[in-house]
Amino acid sequence: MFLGRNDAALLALSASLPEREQAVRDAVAAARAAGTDRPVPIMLGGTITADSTVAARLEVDFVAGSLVEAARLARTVAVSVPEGNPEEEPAELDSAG
Amino acid sequence: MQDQMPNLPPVDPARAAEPFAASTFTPDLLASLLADGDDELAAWTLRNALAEQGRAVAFDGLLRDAMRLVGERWSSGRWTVAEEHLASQTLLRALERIRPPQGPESRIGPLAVLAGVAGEHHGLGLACLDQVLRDDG
Repeated sequence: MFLGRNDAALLALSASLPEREQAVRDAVAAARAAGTDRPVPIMLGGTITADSTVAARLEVDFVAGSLVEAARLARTVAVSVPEGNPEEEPAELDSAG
Repeated sequence: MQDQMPNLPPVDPARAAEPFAASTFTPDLLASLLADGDDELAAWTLRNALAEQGRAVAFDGLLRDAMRLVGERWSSGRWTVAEEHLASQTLLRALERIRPPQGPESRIGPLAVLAGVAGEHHGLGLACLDQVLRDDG
């Protein structure tokens, strides 16, 4: 899956209407089941977060009510990401295609 | 219509490249430029705000307030749905004009994946977040 293949450090989801609640649940479930090497923190933004009861029901790690808040949360995640090993051989490029 | 005309600040063309005080650029001005389809002046407005504020602060303030005005004017019938859609499209083009510079170094930091959930039609917030996170590396 994309998240694991690209070693994503954060998944930021956006939803506007409360009717998207199930779609958020589906996206969160898919991300959790992605089988990444380490759990990918999930942040939710968009106007759906204006209703705190909806946001509280959704099993995300962070709720961002603004871009300033989202940037702060992303920085928190970034500093917790282990740095790559400089001694490690770079991954070989896929020659297919 | 007269009330759709952007109330542009007085600018000496010879000094247009110089930064102006952020207070010169109001949400009302930006909303009008967006609904007029003027991505060039909308980008100029945002660029001036960015000269005094961080990207996240400028987007949370000026840009969000402008889009709120667009929504209010559409819902009150003052602007048509076509103008509301034009404003959104113009904003995307304006954002492209003020995109942070990208180079190989911008690929070094941790990767964030940005996505709208299934059925989501609003991507402006993600487009803004993309720029904010790129600015942060």
